[in-house]
Amino acid sequence: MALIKVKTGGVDNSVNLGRRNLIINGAMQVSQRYGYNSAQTDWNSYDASDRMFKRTAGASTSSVQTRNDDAPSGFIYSDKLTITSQDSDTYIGRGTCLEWNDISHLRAGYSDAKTITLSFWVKASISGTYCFAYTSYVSVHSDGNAATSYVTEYTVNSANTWEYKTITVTLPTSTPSNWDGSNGGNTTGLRLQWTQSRRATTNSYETATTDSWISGNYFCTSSQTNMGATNGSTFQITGLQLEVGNTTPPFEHRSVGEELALCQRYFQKISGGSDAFVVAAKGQGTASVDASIPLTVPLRASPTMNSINSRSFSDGGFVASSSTTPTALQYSDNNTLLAVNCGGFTGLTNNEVQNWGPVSNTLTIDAEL
Amino acid sequence: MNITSAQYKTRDTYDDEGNVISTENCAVIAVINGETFGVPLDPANRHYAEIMRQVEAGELTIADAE
Repeated sequence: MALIKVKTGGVDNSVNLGRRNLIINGAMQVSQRYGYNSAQTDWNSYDASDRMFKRTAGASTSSVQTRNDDAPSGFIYSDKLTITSQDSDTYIGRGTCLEWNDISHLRAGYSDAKTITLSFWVKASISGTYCFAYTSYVSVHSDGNAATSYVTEYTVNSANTWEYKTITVTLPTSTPSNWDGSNGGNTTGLRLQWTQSRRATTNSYETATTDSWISGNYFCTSSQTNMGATNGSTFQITGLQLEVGNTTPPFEHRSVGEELALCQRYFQKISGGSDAFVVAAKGQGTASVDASIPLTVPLRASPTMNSINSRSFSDGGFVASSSTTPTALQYSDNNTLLAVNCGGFTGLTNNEVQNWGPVSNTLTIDAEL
Repeated sequence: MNITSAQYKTRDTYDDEGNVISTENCAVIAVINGETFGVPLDPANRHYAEIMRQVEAGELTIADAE
């Protein structure tokens, strides 16, 4: 009888076991909102690769972010930011937020806090020092409420060249109150942010302390290359992988279907077109409908919805149209139906069965962190 | 996040005869970065969290529903 010994030691260091990467859409495969040249200057926007936000402050610099098909070997896409209007005092950072539910096992804030390793590919048009930061949040996206930050520097050695970087960090073993999920497990647990441009005059979000967990809301140092001061400068990242431990196995490629489903916990959309999509509804009074939108996966939180033109139909045909913004009515964290209400109609009958949907707009369902 | 206006939206509930039995705020209609959105009253929603932060900071007022 053949005897096969299974070696147990060192498995974590030698084999990519799958489901190691805590970052969703790290290869930028999914871009539900995709659009070139969609310049955004607001503080918190999601508009290129799914799960990738851009944050700006000062906002005298304009920039465009896209999902781009320039990528290092082994990847197809990257997330690209291009400075389109220069200024030396604008903060710009790109990054992703991880839900507390997905990082609670890292034990941040406890004596057995884990060591984590981030790996990524970067390509920038300006070589030099760049900063990456982890930040924890007490409350979701309330600037200034971030409790703990970790800022580290890395070097882009050559301009316009893909380079592979790794950053290993042991999570803090104190300040558990900020990491215990008491604000709800579905809120931000850890934010990862790559800085592209610093505020050279106001020095906002800058710290001189690197490679250490500190209190406050810090993203970079004064050594950060200030791409915002150079019109046309570009910054690309892809292959983002965050995993427990201090090793860097090969990137965990997941299928686009898996990544899409993971992204859709945070954003879904229904693309309209000549009443192509309608969902079950009923008249709620004579001027609004309550409708049930089928979701691909349950959402993280009750979503924000955009303004659309919609129409409602009964068995007798078209009943009424509306240009009023629909709103989420009832949300459940394990429900694949989203109840919404849309007003602005006339001539409906209370409780009468309706079919409701966007006329030709895309209805966006946004539950991003 | 540039929020230039915010107004509560109400939803009526009816009895079986179609009479209104209650009217409650159910969402905020907000103009965010120049676009109109329907924002639920959920603290875990990032837009609602930011609206309430700005309200508490005295930077924004949510108008009553029409």
